[in-house]
Amino acid sequence: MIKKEEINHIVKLSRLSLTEEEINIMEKELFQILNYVNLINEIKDLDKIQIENKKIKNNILSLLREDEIKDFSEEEKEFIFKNFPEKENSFIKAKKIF
Amino acid sequence: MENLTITKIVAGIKRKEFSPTEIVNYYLDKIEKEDKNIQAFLNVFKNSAIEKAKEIEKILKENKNSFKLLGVPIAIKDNILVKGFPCTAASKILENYIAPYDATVIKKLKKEGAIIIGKTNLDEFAMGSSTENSAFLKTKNPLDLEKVPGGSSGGSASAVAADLVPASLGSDTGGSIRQPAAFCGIVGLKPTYGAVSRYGLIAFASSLDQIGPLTKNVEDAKIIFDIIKGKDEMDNTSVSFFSKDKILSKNKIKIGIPKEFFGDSLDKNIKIGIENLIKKLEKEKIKFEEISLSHSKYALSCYYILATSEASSNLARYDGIKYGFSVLNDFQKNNKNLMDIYFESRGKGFGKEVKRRIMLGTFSLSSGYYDAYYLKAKKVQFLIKEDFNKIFKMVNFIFSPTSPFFPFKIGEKINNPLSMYLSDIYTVPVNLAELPAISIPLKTQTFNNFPVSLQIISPKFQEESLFNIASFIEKLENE
Repeated sequence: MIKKEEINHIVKLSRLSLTEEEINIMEKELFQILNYVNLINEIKDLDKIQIENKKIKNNILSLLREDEIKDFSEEEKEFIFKNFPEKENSFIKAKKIF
Repeated sequence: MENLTITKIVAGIKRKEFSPTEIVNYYLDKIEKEDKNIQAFLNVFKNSAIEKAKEIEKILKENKNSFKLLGVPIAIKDNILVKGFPCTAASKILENYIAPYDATVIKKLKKEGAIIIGKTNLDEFAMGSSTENSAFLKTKNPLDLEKVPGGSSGGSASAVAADLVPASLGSDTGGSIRQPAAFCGIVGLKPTYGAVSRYGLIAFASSLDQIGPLTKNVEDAKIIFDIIKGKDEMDNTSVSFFSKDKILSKNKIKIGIPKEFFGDSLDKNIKIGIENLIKKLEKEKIKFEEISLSHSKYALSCYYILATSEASSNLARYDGIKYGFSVLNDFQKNNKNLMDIYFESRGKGFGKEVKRRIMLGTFSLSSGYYDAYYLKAKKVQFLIKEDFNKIFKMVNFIFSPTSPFFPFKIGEKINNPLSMYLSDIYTVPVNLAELPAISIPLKTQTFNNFPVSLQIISPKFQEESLFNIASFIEKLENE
């Protein structure tokens, strides 16, 4: 149902390094799960249901608020810095992007 | 001091039958002796618990005791942040992560004088129904050590069931509080979506996750729920609400029995147990009516598409750069690039089930499949909500089993993801419809040491009514 190259594409999108063996197992398991999940396709007229965009939009708008900056306490900041895998002072160190 | 409840501890401390220090030491000793066999705890906060107990004794001397949980030890599922302590989500990727702040629920518990005694085991990132997906421990069911405690809040459930702690917090995305509560024979509440702040809960599927209590009785579940509920400015989906519940007299209560939940997939003895309860309640003049939740058959499919989609997005934050497990160090010297760091850190840091769900979610959201999976599942969710809305115009509550089967053997389902997923067929519709539900053990309906558990579902924000009817049944079962 899903082809090998599609699985490889999903692995890439998922940002996961998997061994060839892991990918083979994943292929089998995803096939089994998708097969089950496809049950929803037997519901008639699903295409006719329009999820009310207007209502959703209004709900979201009512949740919006001004963007205010709230600082963490010094103690909280210390913990955050401690959690950086690689750092220099209070900066995260990473590989260069380009 | 065996089998104390929150109410008994608070009352006992007030009457000076025991001190907070004695209570804390009692549970710490018990954990030390008995948790070797159960393996409910990932981390026990021995020193801080003892210190906190001393602090509370000072408060007691000043006689300002209006705290609702003064001196009550509580265990916390290890996907909820407690400031200054590790929070792992039972994942290798967070093995060395220290929580920088308290989750809102933790702040609220501390404010009432609770003593956070430790963190409990779970399925990695709360993904699973047996707690076997933890990267660190295999938690056992205290009722039978060969069996799983359920999941994903298996540590929180088994700790309470083994009396290693009077109460605990868990989280429930598709049944993760109710199913382990049922497997271990205790009470578990999944609140209405938005009733409790999720700030400081490590996200799995944000539109479905809720924090709730696991306790020895309904009264304790209510005490904790009343403390942790409410609007929080740090969680925009949380709401303030007032109970609009009318207390119904027994002869006015009408309960719906969904025929779809009592089919062939249900264990015969569980079915008998629930039927026996219904007979008892009919004698008490409570009315029952067969109802149909016609789309419930599709709930599990719908759930696994939506929950994994959200998970794939939520778990994108684990990149090996900002916090958590990273291969950055190993790679410093060679020619790997930034992308390799992402792939390798995530590949090594996440366990099997988490990878499976990230893959499934990424697939459902990917170009070409979004309409066929994610969007369709959203529509099915809408139909499931409509089913419940219609039914709740006719009945006050819905009764169902919490789980289709009794606890299974450790290892029995771990290699068959789909059969594991089926553990949640009766619980996931509740999360999809954003409703509250409570699971309670039926003590008179016990098979091989395992009580049958009943799930009671109510309309949104009617937790108060849930507690009332659950208490009534609990009393009836204890008689």
